Amino acid sequence: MLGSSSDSEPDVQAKLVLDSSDDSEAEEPQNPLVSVELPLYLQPSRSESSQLSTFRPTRDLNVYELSADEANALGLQNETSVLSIDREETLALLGIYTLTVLKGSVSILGVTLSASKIAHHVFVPRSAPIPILRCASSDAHADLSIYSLPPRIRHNHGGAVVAIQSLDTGVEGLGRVCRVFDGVFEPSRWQRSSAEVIRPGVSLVTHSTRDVLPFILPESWSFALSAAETPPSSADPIPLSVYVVKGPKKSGKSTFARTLLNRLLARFQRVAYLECDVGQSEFTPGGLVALNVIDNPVFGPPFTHPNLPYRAHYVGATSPRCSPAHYLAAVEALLETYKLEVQTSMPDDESIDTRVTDVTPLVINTMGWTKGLGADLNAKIEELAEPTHVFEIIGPEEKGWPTAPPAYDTLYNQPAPSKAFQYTLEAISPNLTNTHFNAVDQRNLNILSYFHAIFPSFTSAPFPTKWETSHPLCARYPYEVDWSQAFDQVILIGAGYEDVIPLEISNVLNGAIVGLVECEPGTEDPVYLDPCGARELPYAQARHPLAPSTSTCHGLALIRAISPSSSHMHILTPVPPAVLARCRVIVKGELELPIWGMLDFTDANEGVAGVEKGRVPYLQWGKSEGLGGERRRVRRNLMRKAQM
Amino acid sequence: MRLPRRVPWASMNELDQLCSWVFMDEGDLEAKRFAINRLSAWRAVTALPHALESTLSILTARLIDTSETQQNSSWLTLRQNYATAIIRMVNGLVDPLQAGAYARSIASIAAQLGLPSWLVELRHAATHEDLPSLEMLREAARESLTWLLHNYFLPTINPSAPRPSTAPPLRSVAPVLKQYKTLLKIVTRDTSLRKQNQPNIDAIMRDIERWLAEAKLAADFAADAYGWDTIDGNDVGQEDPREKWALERLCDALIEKGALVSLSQKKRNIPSNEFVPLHPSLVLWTPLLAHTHTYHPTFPSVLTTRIVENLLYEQPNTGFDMDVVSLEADESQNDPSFHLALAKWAAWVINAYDNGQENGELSLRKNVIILLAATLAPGKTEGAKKIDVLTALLGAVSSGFTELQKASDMLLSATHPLQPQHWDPGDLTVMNERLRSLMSLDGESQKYTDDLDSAPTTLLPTQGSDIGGWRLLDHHSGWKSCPIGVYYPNHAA
Repeated sequence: MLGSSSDSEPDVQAKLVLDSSDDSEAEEPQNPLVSVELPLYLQPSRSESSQLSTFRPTRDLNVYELSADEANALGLQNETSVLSIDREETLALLGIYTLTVLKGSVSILGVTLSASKIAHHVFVPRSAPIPILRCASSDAHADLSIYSLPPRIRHNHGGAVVAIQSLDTGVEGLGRVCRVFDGVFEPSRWQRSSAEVIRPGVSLVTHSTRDVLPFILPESWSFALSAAETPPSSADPIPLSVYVVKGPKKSGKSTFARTLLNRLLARFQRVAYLECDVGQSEFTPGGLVALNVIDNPVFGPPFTHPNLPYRAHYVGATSPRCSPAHYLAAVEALLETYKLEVQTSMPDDESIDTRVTDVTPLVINTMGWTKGLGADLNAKIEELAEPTHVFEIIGPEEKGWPTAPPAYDTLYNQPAPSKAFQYTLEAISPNLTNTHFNAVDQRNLNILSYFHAIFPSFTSAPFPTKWETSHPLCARYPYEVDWSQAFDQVILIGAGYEDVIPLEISNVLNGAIVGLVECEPGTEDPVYLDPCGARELPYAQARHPLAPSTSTCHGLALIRAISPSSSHMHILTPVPPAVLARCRVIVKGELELPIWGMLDFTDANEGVAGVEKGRVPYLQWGKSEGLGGERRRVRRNLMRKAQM
Repeated sequence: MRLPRRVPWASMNELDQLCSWVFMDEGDLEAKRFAINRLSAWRAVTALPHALESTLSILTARLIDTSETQQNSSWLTLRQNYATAIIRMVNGLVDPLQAGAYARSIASIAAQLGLPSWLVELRHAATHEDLPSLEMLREAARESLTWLLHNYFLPTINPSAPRPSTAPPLRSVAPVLKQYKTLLKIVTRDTSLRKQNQPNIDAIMRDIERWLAEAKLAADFAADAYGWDTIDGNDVGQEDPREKWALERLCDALIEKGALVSLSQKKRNIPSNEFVPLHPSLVLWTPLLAHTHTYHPTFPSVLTTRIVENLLYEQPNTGFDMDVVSLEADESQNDPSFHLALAKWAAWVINAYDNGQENGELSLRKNVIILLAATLAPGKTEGAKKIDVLTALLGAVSSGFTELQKASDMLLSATHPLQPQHWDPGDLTVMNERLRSLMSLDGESQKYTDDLDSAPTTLLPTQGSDIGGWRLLDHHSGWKSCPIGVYYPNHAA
């Protein structure tokens, strides 16, 4: 950016966006209306700060600290605060906590939670809209109590009682790794005085500020969500639903998809989520087209819930523009997988879960590249998915591109007219988007969160319960891998990568992020006839990426170093060890380790692992001296004569 | 915290070696092939600096041209190779320097870069007209490589060596401001002339924008502007130091006598109770300030800081500033009415543009108060000049803000020496308290700077020793932490 966007309203200020990579992120500038009659005092209209919490915590009146015995009696471990929320009261909590509804029901992030034994994990950093807890209108069964509350806890009729516990995951340590997010789980400097600590690491925020914004469900969203989840009135078997969410960047697409997922999880035991947005993925780091199967609602931004996918394919970049055909094949293969393996299953009658167990609906999040080729790709995905419901978010008018439907009939067959229910949704208000954290920062954080995550080895609980953030990546014990035994093939995908000759391949792989791919035996021609004991990495120029129909990517790995003299490399990966040996192909795309991941926050001299600043390989501090020393960047909002 | 940049080379030696492959011996095709292979590999590691990207495409075109085994039957292919390489090189050098809101001509940017103008012509011809002749293209490729050697490779490899200064000095903005002033005077005296003059005013506004864009580019060459990072994709949000430098130069010109503050002492000395600039000045300059603010959100902050610095310190003109011809260079700096008028402008800008939002950085108002406080602090006031003006400014800026007013009152109150305190038994508890909190801080930091030997083994159960060639190292392996990209051999194995 050419200026810090700190103290003027977005509509006063023409944003000059220097856009390095993506072709659809450039913002159109406002034409300056240079008026000579200016008021002497320009007072930019300040966005009114609104009240987030009407709940006023008062000890032993609506906030109770449970004794260990009391907590145990309720089946809750650890120290617990119990909050009694009245009707109409709102409550905004910042931090990381578990939320258990003891009585009545509350709504959070567009989802209503009723009293149950489930402790929901809630992650609330300042970098994302803050969920507002609200007492939901209690239904007829409200009197049915699962918990017998200690008598000292008062609650009014129609109110709700919730238990809040601190949750220790280590995720807040990512702020030390990527300093942009330092302290995001704590109140900002400007709020520290007014915020009230409920439990260690959980504080109540009373008012919104420019960097703490509430989550607000637009009316059209709420309407569409209700319509989508209403079960058909007849006693028909439960229909097989496929939901497609589409819309331009920054319109709230993934927020809507996440809300829809959470809403569906109230009725279904499992919901599948197909991520087609390889730039900003919900459950995986970027570069992957992934199918995830989720069984608990997710409350938090993507970096707080990295998840091992059910099946995924690596496209290696944050946009499919270099390999659209491979991208489409990956989406098609995942849709196939969903229909064959996930969509329907035997009903589980044993389960105490009252939710539907034999049908798993699918939510598809499409990418925000909605112009040109991006529009064609999205249309093709929609056609392949055969959705029953389509949610389209209408973003700010995109200038210079025709709004007419894409003419892809020359490329593909004419699509059949869609039979899906269509919903048109309003875009999320730009006033509610946090401008302190941009898309690049968020993407970097997702990658770093993934590499610091510790996934439990048990596939039944794919959410990481922990993040290991006490050490930087450079200080973690790596796997030592003998590539002559472990890998059959190295593939590069990216524009111009076919020019990398075999002699240079280890230069390319050193420090690279790669996809770990398993492929069905016999589907790939080996690079070497006898790979065992090979002297060189099994790489051949200009190989095509593996066919998604016969391969699967188990996750990403960081090749932290390659031995110059032996056939060994050191690799960091959170992928469970059980599947590592099956990944016999490594694929390197354009995805890079964020610079934050190469630094060492424990080194007091700002060096890395004891190596002083100027001597750290592959990093350069300070200004580049020569001309043309910067990466190419593109400006798309330059004003020409005609606009002057 | 300034982030480093990711570069594809492990050390400068690797870039040095590449440079010698490219430039040492023009006839050594083998070396050229090495260079092409290395650059192609680097491209797959991370996005290359534009100069290297251009070197790769020019080298590739030349290698095909000079190979003895002339495989390509078509000379057109060769011309297209050359042409693409040169078009992309010129565009890539010029595009990032389109720093302003309005497009500048490629030729003017190229001139500032010291890029031969005929290359710009060739780029235009190759893009829009007939593809140039092979002879021209070969010459252009040679000239481009030479330019890259002198402007990218040599300065990057030897940062201390002086770079040939080919850039013409930045033109002065003063004439533009003068023109603006004249025009606005006409318009404000007789509003009926406004419509007729509006296009001229717009043109001047654009010219100022263009000048700022030029200044940003010139910032690269300015001696006092060193010490910043190139803006990377990773720190997009950071303030652009070039923008700051350019705005500072504009503000300096505005601060000169005859611009914001009128030349005539008589006009300045019209007594006024309010601490605001005189009305005629306001009417004259607000359109320009507002327009600049529209495109440069940091402008108010730069202007106020610059004014306050001007009041606080004597102004030794930096060498570069000499290029910016001042309107009234020799007028004595000791002119109370001039300083008072400047201070009024600072106060006005703060009142007009400070919206109280802090956003992690200090508001305009607080920033100025902090600057002033350093000089007005008790004990420091002796010897400092312009105390009256500074005091008045401080008062004007903090009035209406209770907190700030309290603080500034404290500053301005007579400098009472601190009363020697009587020892109180409670003091010991306070001191102990402080000591404890300091100690606990230390424990906190200890947690993060733990001994590296305790690096975690991913908390996963050790899966035997070896699965399909994978083996997780642990503290028995003798592995030590080291930067990403460095292989620490495992001796214990």
